Amino acid sequence: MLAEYVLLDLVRNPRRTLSTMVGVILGVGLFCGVLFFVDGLSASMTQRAVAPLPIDMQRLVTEPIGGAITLVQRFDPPGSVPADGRARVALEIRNTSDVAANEVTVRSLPGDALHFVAGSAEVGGQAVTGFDDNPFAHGPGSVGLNIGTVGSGATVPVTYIDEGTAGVELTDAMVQTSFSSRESVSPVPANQASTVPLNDLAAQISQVSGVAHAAQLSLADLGSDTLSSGGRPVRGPVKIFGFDARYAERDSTIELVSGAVERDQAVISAEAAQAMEAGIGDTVTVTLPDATRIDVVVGGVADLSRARSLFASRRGSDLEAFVYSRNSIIVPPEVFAGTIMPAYERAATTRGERLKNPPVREVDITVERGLLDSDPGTAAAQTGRIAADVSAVATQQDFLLDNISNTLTVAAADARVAKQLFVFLGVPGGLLAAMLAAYAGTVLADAQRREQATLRIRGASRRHLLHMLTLRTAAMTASGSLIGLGLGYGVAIVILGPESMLRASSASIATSALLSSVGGFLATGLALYLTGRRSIDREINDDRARLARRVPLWRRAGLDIVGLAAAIAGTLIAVALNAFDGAAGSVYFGRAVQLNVGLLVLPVAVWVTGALLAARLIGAGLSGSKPQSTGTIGSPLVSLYRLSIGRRPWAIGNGVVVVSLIVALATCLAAFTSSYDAAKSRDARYATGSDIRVTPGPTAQRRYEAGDAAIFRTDGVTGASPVIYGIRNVILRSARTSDPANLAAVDPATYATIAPVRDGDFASGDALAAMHTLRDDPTTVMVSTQMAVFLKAHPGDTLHVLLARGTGEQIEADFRIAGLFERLPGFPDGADALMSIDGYAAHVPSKTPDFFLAATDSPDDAGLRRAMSSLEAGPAAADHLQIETRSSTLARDQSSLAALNIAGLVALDSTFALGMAAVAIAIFVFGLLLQRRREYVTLRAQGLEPHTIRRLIAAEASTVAIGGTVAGVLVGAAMGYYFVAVLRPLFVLVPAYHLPARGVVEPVGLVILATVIVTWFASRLVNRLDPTELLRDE
Amino acid sequence: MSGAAIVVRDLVVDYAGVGGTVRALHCPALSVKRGESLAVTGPSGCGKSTLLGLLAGLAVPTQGTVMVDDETISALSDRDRVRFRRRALGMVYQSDNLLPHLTVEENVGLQLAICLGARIAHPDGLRPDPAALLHRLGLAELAGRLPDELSGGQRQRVAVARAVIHRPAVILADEPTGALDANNAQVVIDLLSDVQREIGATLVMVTHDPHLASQLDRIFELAKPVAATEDAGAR
Repeated sequence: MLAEYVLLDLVRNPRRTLSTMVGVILGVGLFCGVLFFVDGLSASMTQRAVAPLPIDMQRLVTEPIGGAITLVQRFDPPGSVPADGRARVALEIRNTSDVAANEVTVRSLPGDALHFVAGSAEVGGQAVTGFDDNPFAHGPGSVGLNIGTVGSGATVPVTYIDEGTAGVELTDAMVQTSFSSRESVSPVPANQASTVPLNDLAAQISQVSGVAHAAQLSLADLGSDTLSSGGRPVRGPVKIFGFDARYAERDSTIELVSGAVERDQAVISAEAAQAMEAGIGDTVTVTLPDATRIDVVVGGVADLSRARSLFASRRGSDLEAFVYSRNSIIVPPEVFAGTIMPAYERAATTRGERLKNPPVREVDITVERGLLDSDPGTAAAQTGRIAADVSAVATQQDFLLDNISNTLTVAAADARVAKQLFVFLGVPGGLLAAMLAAYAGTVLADAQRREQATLRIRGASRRHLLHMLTLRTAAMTASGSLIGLGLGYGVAIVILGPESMLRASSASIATSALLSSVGGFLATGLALYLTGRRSIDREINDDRARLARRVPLWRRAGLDIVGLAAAIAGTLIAVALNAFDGAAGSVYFGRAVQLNVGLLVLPVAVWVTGALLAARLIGAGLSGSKPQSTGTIGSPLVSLYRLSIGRRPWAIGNGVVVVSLIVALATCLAAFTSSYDAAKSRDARYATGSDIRVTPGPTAQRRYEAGDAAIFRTDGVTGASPVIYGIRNVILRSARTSDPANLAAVDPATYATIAPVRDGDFASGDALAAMHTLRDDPTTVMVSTQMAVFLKAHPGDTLHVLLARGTGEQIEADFRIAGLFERLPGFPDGADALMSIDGYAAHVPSKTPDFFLAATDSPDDAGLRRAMSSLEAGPAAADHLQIETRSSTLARDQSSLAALNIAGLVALDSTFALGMAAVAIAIFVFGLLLQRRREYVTLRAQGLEPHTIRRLIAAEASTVAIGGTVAGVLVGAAMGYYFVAVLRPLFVLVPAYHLPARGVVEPVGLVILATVIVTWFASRLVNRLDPTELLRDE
Repeated sequence: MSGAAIVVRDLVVDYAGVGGTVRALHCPALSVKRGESLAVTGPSGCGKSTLLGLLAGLAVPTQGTVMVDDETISALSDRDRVRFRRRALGMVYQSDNLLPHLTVEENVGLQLAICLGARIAHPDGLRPDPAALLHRLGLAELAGRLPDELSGGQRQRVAVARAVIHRPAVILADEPTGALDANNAQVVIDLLSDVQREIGATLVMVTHDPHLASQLDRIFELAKPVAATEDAGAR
């Protein structure tokens, strides 16, 4: 009976039902949308995180050069200690390599169960004399016995006797035996399994479940002038690689310019081909470390300038740094194994010293990325299992670099931070939903009071009314939550795309759906129920009396003042504890973003208390006018407006709170997005060095000089600046020490204007002065503070700089340290020293710029596109130029939390916020209509023209709209500032706070538009009210 | 200017109900002279309030004509009916319908402002004085109070003041004492009658109370409409 009544009530009052449900729909929709957004985004985080990885896993072979030596250990007799208590330990050292092993040292230590018998040791059948104890545990740290050289193909027997308890079983573990040599200083245990050849290792690993590909890669550094063709050598160091065609096919950064990767033929880098004037079919000669030479026919020419898998550093000190070598040659893996490695072995054994840069031999592994879970944490567990399986293949002969698991572990941590962040960004939406529902509920309750009174007169008890309220609330919130659920999912699909949502696991989607719909149902339902219950508990006449003077609970409790004080105190504490500082995250550095998520409470506190305080101030301002009673009324419109807002300001105040909260959220999100985009763009521009970076490709037809910068000054480009730069391209030597370093040589005059150089980058605090110093005195150099500390060098000191390191032109010159810098734009791998390009050219005249930086005439994306178009149509059309922009740098930064689709989330939040703003205005205006319809029809009956009543409604709605938007913009600006401060670790550079005009105009414009439209509709409804009925009612 | 302030002919009001057309009012003829006071009585649902709404121009009949103060208001446009109300009508309801955020004098003054805003001046050329009227009605002490601070009887007296401040030609009262006790009811009726006589207005008052009806010049018994149902009265 009651349920039927409630259902009819809802169906027959569609406007009232809908206006209440819209708040629920939007609120639940927003909360669902945020959670679904997080699901969809998390689903793509695995793909995003692993996308930039050049190699998923690397099995690095630790087999030493000249290491084809084995040590076999056995007991004679085997089994157990004989009855006489003596067991012979028989060792055998075999050298199966082509070269001798020098200074072979044997170490053998019996365990607790056995004891060395003095004088029992023999080497090569000869007794070892001169030792009172175990000669194989002799020396500091029990280093063992040096048995001298073991020649190629030789076998050396070593024996000694141990004593033990008769009958005790003998195992290998009872004696710890190993050997080392001059060529292999790391001890190699006895009885180690034979080394699996690299090609077999790759084949075995490729069979491991979850491994897509496994291919061998060998690489080694050859010296300068080791590659030539027709008597024309390349200048500078040469790098030699060994891999096959399949490896090249799978790595898209290995770009064959001509020819192919053929068996028994070589591929050379485009730069080497150019230097040697060699082409396909020509023969090139490679001088190997042992001074032997091999001739190979060129089968292809490749652009390797972006081949990260080949040139990523394998050294622990600068792991993954891109150390590019212009002169490279690729030979088949069989050639590397059969010819290059023996040459290194010979070199290592004949020169009598350890090779400084031994060849690197590895199996590069690509996992089945498509099978990885969309969640980075789960995916990390998957790759961890794959890594364990890969390590189990031919164990102990190498070690595994598990790049993908490291990356995914960081991404998983990022994902956790992202979820916390996004939930916080979604929380205001949820709060707004509950508030909007409560606001709608208040209005609805006012409208239903008369109906409730009638029902009471007809015998309905309070219990009946509460039962009906429960049913009505449940029906509306359940329906609204379901619709909101669909809306949220739809919006998430629109913003993220269906692929992302389909990638998300069903379990996470279901969990989000359940959480948000139940949460939304409870939050909005509770808000509706409480307002309705308060209405039932209040006497009608009491309510009428209170209507004009009602002061909200929050104001009476002073919640705004308390909240503001708490926000200020929280801010001061956070500043004192440096809580706003965090650490930027990077997969490359294996570090997740360190956000102080707890601080996100502050912007939310500023938001709520700011809006309440604004409402208090506006309410106080309106009531402060204290209209005096007078019988002389001037303009009815002005008088009615003035008296209405002056004597019942909290009706306006309530509307202001709602509108200001919504506008504040929209403004805050706009400010945050704008600041975020601007900061990321600045970060990207800083990393690029300017708006555009032009790098002459390896196959460029012309040789670009520093003076050619003007070539790149095309339409939309204001200027270009040449830069010489390289990783470890110089050696800096101070009076105390020296170190390889990254030197940048720039044109100080143009670099200062083209690159975003900042005063703060220099210790002197004056970037321009620093550039002038370099320009005016080419014998000066600027050094990074970090390098200066290492070198123990100071401004004014002389620095010896080995320029063009490792090339035929390397030369040492003295420079005076003119100053220090922290960091410089354009060198994401870091610059340790900076000098003028003239100063560099004075010593190395043949060196050409490595790249040019170019600035656009307009900072926006359109200006960048125009400049790119003109460059592509101009210089890049005529020659092979690699062009990077700040946009491409930004797009490539996909590996950390900073790359998350915050813009998408903000778009989602803003869309709902603007929708809620319109609904809030509508609720306010229609609420006025419901609450004051008797007033309006009375005025009509008194002869007030309908258009005057319309203006009166519009004036009050406008007051709410203007007050709400002004307060909202101010509060939103402050809230946005807090958001940017809390999310500071997302940025490399300190982000500048930016409040875009559009971000203010949009919500304000929408609120005003909503006010106009809703007022127009509302005033039409006033005309349709039945005065005869309303005026006789009581 | 004719002798009749109100002339009604063949007045019918129908509306669409759930079961078909419902007749809310049928008034074949009614004429009220200027300065006359008329009590409209009749059973519930006979259309008394509907008739008053038609006389006030707040609704239009389905058929028939309504002429008030020489204006055929049933034929007027919405805008002209508003002007007509401002010029010629004063209304008192069972509920006082005072604006809750306006004081007593402001409620009264607003009515005057609405009329003066339309440049409607009293025939004697003098601007009516709300303070004087409130004094005349014994409300001077309450001038600065909000309606919520008054008793029911006081509020209804203020409603009377508001209805007559602009000296209308016709005063329409819809059970103005329905929510009052007998004493207050008599006070209000006396007040209304006095003022009506004082300004020479025509008074039409709907009432169920035979005693009050008997105090007016004439009683008009409105019959239940032929085609009407009980629903009409409940409308």
